[in-house]
Amino acid sequence: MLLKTKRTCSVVLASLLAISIVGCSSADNTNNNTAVTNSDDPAWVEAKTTPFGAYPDTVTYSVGQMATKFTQLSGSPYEKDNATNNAWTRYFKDKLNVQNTTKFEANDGTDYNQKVSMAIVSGDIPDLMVVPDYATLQQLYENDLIADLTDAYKNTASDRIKEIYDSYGGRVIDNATFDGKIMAIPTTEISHGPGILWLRKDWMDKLGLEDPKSMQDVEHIIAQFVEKDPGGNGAGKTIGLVVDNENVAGVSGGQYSLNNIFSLYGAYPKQWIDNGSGQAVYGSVQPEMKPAITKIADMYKKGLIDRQLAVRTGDDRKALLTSGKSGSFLDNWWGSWTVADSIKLNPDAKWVSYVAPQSEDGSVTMFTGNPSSSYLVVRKGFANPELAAKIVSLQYDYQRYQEKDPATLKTFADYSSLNVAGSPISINIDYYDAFYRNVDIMKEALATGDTSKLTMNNDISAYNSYKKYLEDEKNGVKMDSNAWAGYESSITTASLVKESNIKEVSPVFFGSTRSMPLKWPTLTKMELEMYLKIITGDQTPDAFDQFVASWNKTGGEVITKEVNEAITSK
Amino acid sequence: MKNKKDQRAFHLMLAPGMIFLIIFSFIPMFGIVMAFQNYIPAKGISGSSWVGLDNFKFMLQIPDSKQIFANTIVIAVWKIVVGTIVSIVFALLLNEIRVKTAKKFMQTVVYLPNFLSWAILATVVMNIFSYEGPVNAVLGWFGIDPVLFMASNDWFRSMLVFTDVWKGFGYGSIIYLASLTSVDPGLYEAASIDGANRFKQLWYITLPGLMPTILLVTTLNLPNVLNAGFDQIFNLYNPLVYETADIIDTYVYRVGLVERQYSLGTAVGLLRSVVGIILILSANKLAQKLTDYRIF
Repeated sequence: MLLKTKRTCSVVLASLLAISIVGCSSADNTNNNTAVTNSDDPAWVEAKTTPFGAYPDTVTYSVGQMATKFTQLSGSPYEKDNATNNAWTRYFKDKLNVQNTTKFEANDGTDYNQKVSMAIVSGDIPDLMVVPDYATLQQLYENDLIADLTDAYKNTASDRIKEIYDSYGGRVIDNATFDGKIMAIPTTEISHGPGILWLRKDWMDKLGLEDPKSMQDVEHIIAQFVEKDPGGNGAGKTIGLVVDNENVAGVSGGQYSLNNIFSLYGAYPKQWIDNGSGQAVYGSVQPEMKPAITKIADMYKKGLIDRQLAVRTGDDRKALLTSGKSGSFLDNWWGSWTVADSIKLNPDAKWVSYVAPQSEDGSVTMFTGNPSSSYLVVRKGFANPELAAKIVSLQYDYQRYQEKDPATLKTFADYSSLNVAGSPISINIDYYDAFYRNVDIMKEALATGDTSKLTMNNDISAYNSYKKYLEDEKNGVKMDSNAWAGYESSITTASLVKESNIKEVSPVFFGSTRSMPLKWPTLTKMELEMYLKIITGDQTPDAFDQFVASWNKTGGEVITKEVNEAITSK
Repeated sequence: MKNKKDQRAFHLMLAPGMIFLIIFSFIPMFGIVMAFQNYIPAKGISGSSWVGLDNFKFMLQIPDSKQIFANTIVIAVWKIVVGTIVSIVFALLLNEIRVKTAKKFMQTVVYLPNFLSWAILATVVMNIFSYEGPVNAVLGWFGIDPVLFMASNDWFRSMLVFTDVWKGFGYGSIIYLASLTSVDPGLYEAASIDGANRFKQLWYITLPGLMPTILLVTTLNLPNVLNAGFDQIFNLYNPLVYETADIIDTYVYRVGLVERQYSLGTAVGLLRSVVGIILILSANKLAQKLTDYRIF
């Protein structure tokens, strides 16, 4: 009996194992090739070399895509829409005569990345797909699985698309270029802008404080907030600058981050920067760091920085600001969204943004972020590789700037109001300075009521919401916090940034090297401990020298060498 | 063989649990091979290259590894020692309460925190020990400067042990209370006739009667010395106290999942499991020797 049970068990286990293995390896190995195209036919030649020209015959392409929640459309006229028949795919069909089929569909994030990995493992990738990182793109190129898009980009992408890429000064396209060949249409990561200091204007007015410019001004204002308690928190209960505990600085567009104070001293923590002689060095271990961190430790000692920063969670930080416990934080231009709720809690709360602290010449220096994070690739062997360039031209140029048909625009407006994406290709291609590029035109339109100069189709709907916000404000209607946050970031702060003197430092390396996977976590941990211990006074600023020494010893030196090799070999 | 039919019903009842175990514990075990590979998700287990013991070698080279192991063991041992003592003392005290409703009430009250998850308790603990919290307010009355307990390397481990014991001692004392009922009441009667007071009774009858249980529970706790409590530490710690509170599990979480070093994470986890199973086996032997009880 016992023996028999044992045998049954092993059979069950073995078959379970077999099933799981089969489940992994049995992938769909059929390739759906598109119609054979006649390259001599003038109609085909034209379709292949113009961004918006339609193909004479329908071109079918398979695609791996992020899943869209079409259930959101229920109750609307589009409720039967799906991944292959929706506003975007119909638009593509109508304009370009192309039709997608779904190879795989997955939610954004890990799920999607796994599907991409599986497609690559099985060697059966869709005709078009977006890959989520540089390492995957590199892998696809090295395994010769993707098509060369150099000609497609040069001949078929629209002028505006090229202009947009040019606004990054070549950084983005270079990222997708291997051995001189453009292998992907990269996503663009628009500028996060400089660090923005957000302060409670109503507190400043109460205490008669001037707008801040220099570091001294900033310190003075925060000191007054903490001492004089303009928010009525009770003596000694007002908290200074709210700072993130895990990323004190060094994230592009970081929240609650002290980037501006570091850059004031010429320090760019966590960035691989050029040291002036063509060598890449790690910003966090440069001598400029020490005076910066000494200054911050001094601020902490004076109570100008949240004394409990080390133990705060993201929710805590937000709550401190919205509840009026603190009236200052260094953030990014969309920081108004972080504190939008304060208006709900206290209608008098008034946050304003400053590009501060500025250096003596009135400028603020920022480091730029990774210009590209995902890539649209085409399967090698797909008959119409230029399709990738055509689709992005249609989606990110024509539809945004040139489409004038009101019915079509209404469909897309309905889609976005229901928060439905729909397009099989979800990347974004927009100007580097997108967030403040058109702010003057928008302001002028709001002042005159003349919307004819607004270039983008989305601008019209944005215009309407800003208009309503301004009218509400004038008529003393209770402010909607989202409308306030939107106007404050996209109009007020955007034009502030546009008028400010911003200097940029571009890091020279964003990838990973051979030793990084093994050594980087330890080095990161060491660095994080250094910031917090020095700032909170657990160690004196002299501990920084010790940190630099052990950072180099524990693998930093090796990694710096590898980074330089990686840069020269590219 | 005769009652085979009856057994079938039991097996059926066992089945859901076993299926669950197979799916979530046995099948994922094949993933252990990742520890011997340079695992790249895009290539999968079959496509990733084999690197032998490289991950393990590297693990020992990590400058933090000593600190992490030391933290794990120190925190876990303190938790076991303090937790056991407090549970026993509490069980003995509770046993002395003669009013039945009061006894039941106390028992329930101290048992309650055991049902709360650390995600919730962490917030409570953080607030109690924050700058503005009640503990620092009381210290303030005595003119003591506020202490940021949760961000101090001097305090953090004590806080971990204290809060863990506070959460668990109600549950821990139940087993001792249960074994107290098995002490022969005749012994107490005889002792009181001989003139032994309550304390003497406790010392000479209750404690010796409890000894087998104490030994058993302590031995069975042995495998836990590598398990310092991920839930608790993960929810309470912050970068400032990594030095004293970063344990194997939190490190594996950060390196393995956050930094996506799957192979290294698996290797560390595997090593922990191996040490864990050695400890379980020796604990089993030890328990058998000391108390004549075996788990398997």
